[in-house]
Amino acid sequence: MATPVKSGEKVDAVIAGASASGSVFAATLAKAGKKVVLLETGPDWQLSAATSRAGA
Amino acid sequence: MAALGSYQSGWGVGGAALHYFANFPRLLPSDFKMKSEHNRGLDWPISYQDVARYYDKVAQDVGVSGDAKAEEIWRPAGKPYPMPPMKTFRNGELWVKACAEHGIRLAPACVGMNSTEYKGRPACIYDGWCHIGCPTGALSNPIVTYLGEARRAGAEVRARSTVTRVLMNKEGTKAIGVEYYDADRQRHTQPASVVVLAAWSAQNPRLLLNSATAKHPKGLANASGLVGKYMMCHFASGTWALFDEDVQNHLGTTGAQFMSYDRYPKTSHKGAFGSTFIVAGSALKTSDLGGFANARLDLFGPDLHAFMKRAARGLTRLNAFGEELPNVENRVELATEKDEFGMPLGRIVHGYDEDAAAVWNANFEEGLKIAKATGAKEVWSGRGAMPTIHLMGGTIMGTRASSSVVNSYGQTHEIANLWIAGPGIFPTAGASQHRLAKPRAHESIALCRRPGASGRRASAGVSLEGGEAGGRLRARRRHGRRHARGGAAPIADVGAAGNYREQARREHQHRCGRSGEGVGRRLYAALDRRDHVRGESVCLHAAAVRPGEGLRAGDGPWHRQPGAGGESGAAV
Amino acid sequence: MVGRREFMRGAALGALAFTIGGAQVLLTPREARARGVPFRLLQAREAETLEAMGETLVPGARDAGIAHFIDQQISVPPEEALLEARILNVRPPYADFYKAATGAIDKAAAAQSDQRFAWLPADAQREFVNLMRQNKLPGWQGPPSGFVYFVLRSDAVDVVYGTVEGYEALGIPYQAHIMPLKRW
Repeated sequence: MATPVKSGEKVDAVIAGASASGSVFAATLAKAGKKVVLLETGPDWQLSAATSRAGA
Repeated sequence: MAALGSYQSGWGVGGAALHYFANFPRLLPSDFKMKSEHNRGLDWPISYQDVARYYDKVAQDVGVSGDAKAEEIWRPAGKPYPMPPMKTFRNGELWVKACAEHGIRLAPACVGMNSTEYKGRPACIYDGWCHIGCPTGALSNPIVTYLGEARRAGAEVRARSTVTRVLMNKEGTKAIGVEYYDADRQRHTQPASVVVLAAWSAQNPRLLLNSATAKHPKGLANASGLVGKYMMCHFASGTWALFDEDVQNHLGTTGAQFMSYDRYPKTSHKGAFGSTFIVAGSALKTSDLGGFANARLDLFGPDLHAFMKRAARGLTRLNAFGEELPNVENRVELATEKDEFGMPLGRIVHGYDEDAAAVWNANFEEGLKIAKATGAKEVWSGRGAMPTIHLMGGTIMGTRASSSVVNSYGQTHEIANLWIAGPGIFPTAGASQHRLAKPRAHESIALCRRPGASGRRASAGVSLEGGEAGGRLRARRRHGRRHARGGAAPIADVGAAGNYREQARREHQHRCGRSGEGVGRRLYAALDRRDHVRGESVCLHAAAVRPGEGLRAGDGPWHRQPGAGGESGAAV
Repeated sequence: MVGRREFMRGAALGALAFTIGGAQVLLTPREARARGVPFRLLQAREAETLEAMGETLVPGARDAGIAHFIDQQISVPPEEALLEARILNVRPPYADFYKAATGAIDKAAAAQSDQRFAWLPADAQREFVNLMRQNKLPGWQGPPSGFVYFVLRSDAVDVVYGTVEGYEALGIPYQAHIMPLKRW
């Protein structure tokens, strides 16, 4: 797992919207070794993530 | 009118594709050359041939089932789909002969669903609950495809993080990151070398406009004044057929079993201009927007109950999606009212023109003829107010900075490290990709061949490791056992896709007690949110539509729903 | 990210469940009605109007707990509500819509016959709804009556037909296949 981005740390790409199109950019760039942050206004429905990152 | 594009806006990580139908039809070459071929609308700066191989690639990436050869009567040849077509059921099959009698050939719908196991994700069980979040992973939503892959490659996803502004350097030459607010309404900034806006066709312009600076007084990337302009959508003409026989309408997929491009040529209908894309056979529910009850909006009381009983056995639908032409007056702009972060709401100004209304009406007329040919006991048009489905445009692509916002890669003409992703960059809407951003997003990927960040071809080598993901998620799954009722096989393996729906179900359960209560429609609601453009919606060209069925301005604090108060039928 | 703590806190508080005698209980709307769970936001007469209207729209909606369902749903944060009103772009808070709707129904009923809707005879109720759905009710003041018809009818359909029992009554297997084996 990549290390979490620190507060205020500059990344290669920030993507507004963890959407269908945002995901594609994210996958492509992350796989190219770029540091990517997706910002999503809605909740993360993945319970797995919720349970493994309590209180995040 | 209801907010433009009111059907498909998603809510949460995964976006609208959390509850999409996963239909993956393509545009046709004519969509890219409308201006040069017909002197109408706009041309794309690229051709079908430029994106064809990405269509093929995306089909492999996400897993599309279909029959490419069968489609090639309408489009240039490409690669076969990785999986054979999905199973069909009586509610779809009975349209085949009737359509043929009217010169409409039906091919298997190409869908982003597994007809066989694919990349570690299971085959579909055809229970027809696609639209509220496929729980098995058989449907290729972003969570089980690109987003999962992005996460595994180290991309960080921050939910409950609302971007409000793109931040620029002092000189106004470069984006330096974004401003956003977290769940506690704390303000943050995220510095970045490249900023990509993939927030929805209406939301991206809103962000660009809200990011105005002294150097960019009209908003970012808006020297042309075209940010927010050329908003487009699709409209559907649904035709219902009611049989006495059991057409198995609870089985299949929510989207479609069959499709046709035989009315896709722009001048297919006399006196109308624009493409039509036809689909047949959708699994139906009792109570959601396109369910039994809304097939006859005029019925209530004992009449409704009698209809529900008949519909549960014998109701099926043919749907024709129409193309709206780009019109610069159809736009999203900033309203005076603000959201909880102080960001102005979006205001949508939209209306259909005569061509759209004519295509819509022609499709109803043809739909009825076809429906009669099925031998159904009763047939009728699902005519309400003219619906607005699948929002596109607002940041269109083109070759010149004076007449478009981004280039063919989604890069803004004005700011080299600011990109737009999604169907907002399409200069024409076509009629076929009526499953929101997904196919388009992939095309947009396709269009991101040289992302500023990497200098690499962005489309290369996307593959899934569903097996690994599935295993990890299986290990983590600990809540709520699932079981099948009524004959479907129990789900042995619940992949990543199930989790958001599971959580939505659980939340629902907390609210409403037991989970079985209206779970379908309400889960759809849980996954849906559009109130960031809850500002006023204004209608243009209302005269183009017949009285009583046009888009109506929100005359008061209540948005209106297309179809409300109509004589019958939900237009879905 | 919906954190697990946040998630479990919601469940533990049962903020979304019904309240009986100060205790949070998870109930279906039908059970809530049967047990006489007090309303949170609806006034008694509003609930009465909703039940009468619901029953006129979809037989069985009263007992299925349409008023309890709506009352419970309008009392949760709008972004958590699972109402069709949300899909239909009704502007939150949704309570405003339902209160305006019931008010409009009763005013229009009173203008016609000096009675509240709930007290009209069944045939008069049906005639009222028939005009309401066509935006033809004289004296209607509030959200467009055809829209109110559509929303309330959707709610009534939901509580009557959108349930396991509702599917069974129509002879359709309920295949959401995410049914928990036991209740929380």
